[in-house]
Amino acid sequence: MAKRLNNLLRGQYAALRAYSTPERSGRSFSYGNRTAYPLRVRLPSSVCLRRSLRRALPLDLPATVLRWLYANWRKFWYALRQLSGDDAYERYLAHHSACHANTAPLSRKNFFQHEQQQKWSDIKRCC
Amino acid sequence: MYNKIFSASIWIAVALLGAAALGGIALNRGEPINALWFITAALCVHAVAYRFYAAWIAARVLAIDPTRATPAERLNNGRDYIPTNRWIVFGHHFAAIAGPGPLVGPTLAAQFGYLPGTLWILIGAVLGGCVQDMVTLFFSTRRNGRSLGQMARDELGAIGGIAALIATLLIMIILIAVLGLVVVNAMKHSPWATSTVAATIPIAMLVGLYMRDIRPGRVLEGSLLGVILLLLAVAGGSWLDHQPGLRVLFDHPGLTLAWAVIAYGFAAAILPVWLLLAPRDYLSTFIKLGTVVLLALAIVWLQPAVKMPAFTQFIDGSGPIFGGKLFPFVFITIACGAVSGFHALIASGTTPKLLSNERDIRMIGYGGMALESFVAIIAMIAATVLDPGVFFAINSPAGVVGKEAAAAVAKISSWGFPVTVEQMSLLAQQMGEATLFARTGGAPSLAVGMASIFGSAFGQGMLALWYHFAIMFEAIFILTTLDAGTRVGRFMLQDMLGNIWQPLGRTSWYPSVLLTSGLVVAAWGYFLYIGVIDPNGGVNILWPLFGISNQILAAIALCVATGILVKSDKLKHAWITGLPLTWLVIVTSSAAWEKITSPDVRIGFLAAANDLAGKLASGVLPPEKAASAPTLIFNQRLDAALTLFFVCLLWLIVLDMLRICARHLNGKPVPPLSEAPHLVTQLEEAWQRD
Repeated sequence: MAKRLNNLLRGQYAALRAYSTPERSGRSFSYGNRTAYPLRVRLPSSVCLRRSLRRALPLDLPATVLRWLYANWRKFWYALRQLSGDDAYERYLAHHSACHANTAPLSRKNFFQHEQQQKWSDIKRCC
Repeated sequence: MYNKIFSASIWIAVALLGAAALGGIALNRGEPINALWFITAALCVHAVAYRFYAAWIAARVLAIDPTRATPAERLNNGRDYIPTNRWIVFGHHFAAIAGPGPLVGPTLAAQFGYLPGTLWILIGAVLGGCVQDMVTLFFSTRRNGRSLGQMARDELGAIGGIAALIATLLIMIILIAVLGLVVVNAMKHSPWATSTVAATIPIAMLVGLYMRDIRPGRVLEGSLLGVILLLLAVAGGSWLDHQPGLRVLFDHPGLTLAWAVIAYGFAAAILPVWLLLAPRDYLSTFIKLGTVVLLALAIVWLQPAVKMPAFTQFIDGSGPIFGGKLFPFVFITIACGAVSGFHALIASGTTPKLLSNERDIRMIGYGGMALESFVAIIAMIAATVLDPGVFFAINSPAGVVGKEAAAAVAKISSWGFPVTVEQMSLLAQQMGEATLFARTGGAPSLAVGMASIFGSAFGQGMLALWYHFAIMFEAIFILTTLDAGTRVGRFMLQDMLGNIWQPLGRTSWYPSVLLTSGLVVAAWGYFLYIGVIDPNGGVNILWPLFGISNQILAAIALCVATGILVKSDKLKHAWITGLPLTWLVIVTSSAAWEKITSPDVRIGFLAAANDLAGKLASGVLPPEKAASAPTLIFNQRLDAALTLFFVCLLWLIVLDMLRICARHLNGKPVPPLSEAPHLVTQLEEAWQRD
């Protein structure tokens, strides 16, 4: 259970990520002049589900969940910061040093002002 | 092999459970039904649809290609184009699409009983709304994140593009007016609610200053501070409500509050975003997500019984909340919870610029809307766990059931939904309100439903606090939509006017800012005014108008998608968008037809105008009503003209799309597909390495 949810959170779920290449599956289909290879879209593999059921059911679930929360609180915190835009400046600095290292980056305050001005010049919220 | 059988049997079990839950909901008559069945049915239906239908669309129809570089990767600028983890994109996308619509629509549609609304929320989302969001997101991603209007222009031609632009602007105006009306009705003669909502403005400004000057960019710290202050404001409202000197300052009729909302909207549109809009949005997002999760948990934990019958007699069109038969008005009323045209603007705006891989499109486009539809189901539960008599007493306007409590109670009880004056005054007292009669707009009844659910989960003593928390929760993100909508409307108007006289197009030129903000605010302010002065409660006029315009925007998005599918030689699969498009065209056209031509004064705009004109001419109106009658007559005719304009716009785009498709199928030249060229992603290796 813990491992499965963990993988899910990291967006690395192997079964969902696996897609077939032509070599692997031999299946392909074309629309117009393009050829596309189908996603092998699968539910989280049943092996994993079975294992997680076996793990989760005999134990008491709340303890498992709590343990999992405790083991992953750093990731939650990271996800929360990223979702809310709290770490936007750090990400900007990383991007800046990677791509425009020869110019001086904006200060935190200036960056935040630019960011907000840009964010709200487009449709951001709906009904 | 073993795995396959195991997986298949699990999915068969999920499908059977969903079918059993849906069957139980649909066939139950006359007895209260456990709300858990609704949750089960929704989860199973969405899971099956996501697993099979969405996966099939992704693989076979759209041919999603995970090896293809997304705009976020190709155009990465570290700002709006950034490859982002899909859970983060999902969070952003969901926060953007989830607004007050799916909470208010199902509450109003509950007047038909729980079944029609619930079925349409599920079916409409699975076959229409989710598909619309997903294909729009896909097509926009393939076109460097272009907006719906730009895609319409590129793929269908100038007519489609202009129509989409005009439709978006008008819908924005109607949307803001109707949301403003919901807030005004929630605050009417309620010092507690009004003071709490008013307090959100200085709190947002404080948070804005904190994030800009005191601790720049510390979003979480600022939001935490703001949320604590908001909760204190809710509690402080209770204190204020007991101060005779202070409470009169916040005790206002609807019209005064409407002027206040209009003034606020104008101020919010011209103030810098960091001061009001941005901090308010952080607060509303946190409060919204937190409350929805809390409500879902409370429902699962308490398993309240749904007391509303499956159908009420109001399916014949005589409903007190809004007039009109089950078909087409349940589809128009639910709108956002099932199919929302507005989502197409989000799915073709920010979200495609963040996707790191095309394979995330199914989860974000289809999954995001499925979650929104789940929120709509929760709103439906919160509305239907109330006693039907109480539900109708709160939501029926005084013009329908009478101004006096005794008259209203007698009328509602005569419909077969027993309710007493004592019951209503006890409830009002528990909720800390003077009265709960004729509190139209959906927000108060949703707040009473939420308060009773939270109250039984976390202690009955705090009912009044929960009620006002729920009102604040609805008001804060309605006001965010109002701010953001006014500002976007201003940008669109400046863009259009800039073509006529160039300086008006400059977004930072103050005279132009003032002029265009004033025009946008005046436009929605006028419709808000129409709604507030309407004797039958503005919801009856404005909500159908909003629903029609929203569904027409959805139809425009589906037109663009269908056109692209046909032009990409996927005629065989074009039904995935063609089918919901056909349904929306039927629904919106017939709803518009009814709103224009119906002889029933509660449905037809023209009938109402003529009826009032007749009464005015024969002099049967009392003097104070006679004074406002010419305005009301003009308003009804204006609404009829607007509805007609919307439908003409819709048919124009549909016919234009069909023309393009026919030309393409006959081998004649059409605007070429504007897809960005295929580049192989470089991100994949990095992903597999870690």
